[in-house]
Amino acid sequence: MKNLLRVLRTERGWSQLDLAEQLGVSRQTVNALETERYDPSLPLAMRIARLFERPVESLFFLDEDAT
Amino acid sequence: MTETASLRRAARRYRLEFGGAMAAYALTVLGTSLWIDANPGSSARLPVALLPVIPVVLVVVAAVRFFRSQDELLRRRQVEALAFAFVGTALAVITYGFFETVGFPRLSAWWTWGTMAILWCVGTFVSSRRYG
Repeated sequence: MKNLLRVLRTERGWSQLDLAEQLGVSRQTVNALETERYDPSLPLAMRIARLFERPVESLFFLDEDAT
Repeated sequence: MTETASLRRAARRYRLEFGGAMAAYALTVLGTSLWIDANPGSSARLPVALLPVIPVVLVVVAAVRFFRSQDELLRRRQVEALAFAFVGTALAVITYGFFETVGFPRLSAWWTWGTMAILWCVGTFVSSRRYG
């Protein structure tokens, strides 16, 4: 899946560690999400959406929908 | 800082628990070995020989607590590494079992754990590379 995590994080001036602390996950997980090597669980995706105050479907896209 | 405060706390606690359990393991292995050598006819040799298993159980408890303190990606990486070690060890043990049928020396059961530990390390490396 594709996502906008890095864009939204940098817009807010947060480091990966800042975001990890707010989500209650490791910095490695934030990095794996941003590099799209790992797709989050539904609860984590919903926590991310709540933090950025956006619907989940505006943060994460299926590969075929991103083109 | 390269990791979150809660993960650093969990890692520190694991190092303490693991280190303490391994120190207890080393002491019980040394102590029981000396006792067994000094008491060749004792009926207590078996229970004494098993005493090092207690600190090994403590190592397992520490590892499980650490595993549960990890987030979903870190747990997935560990599960993948353990699955790799499990399957790899099964293949190695079964294959060597057939080697034994044509005259290769019978190996100690300790080799099973050694093989699994090495493959666990390899699996951890592969899994960490996969997820970056």
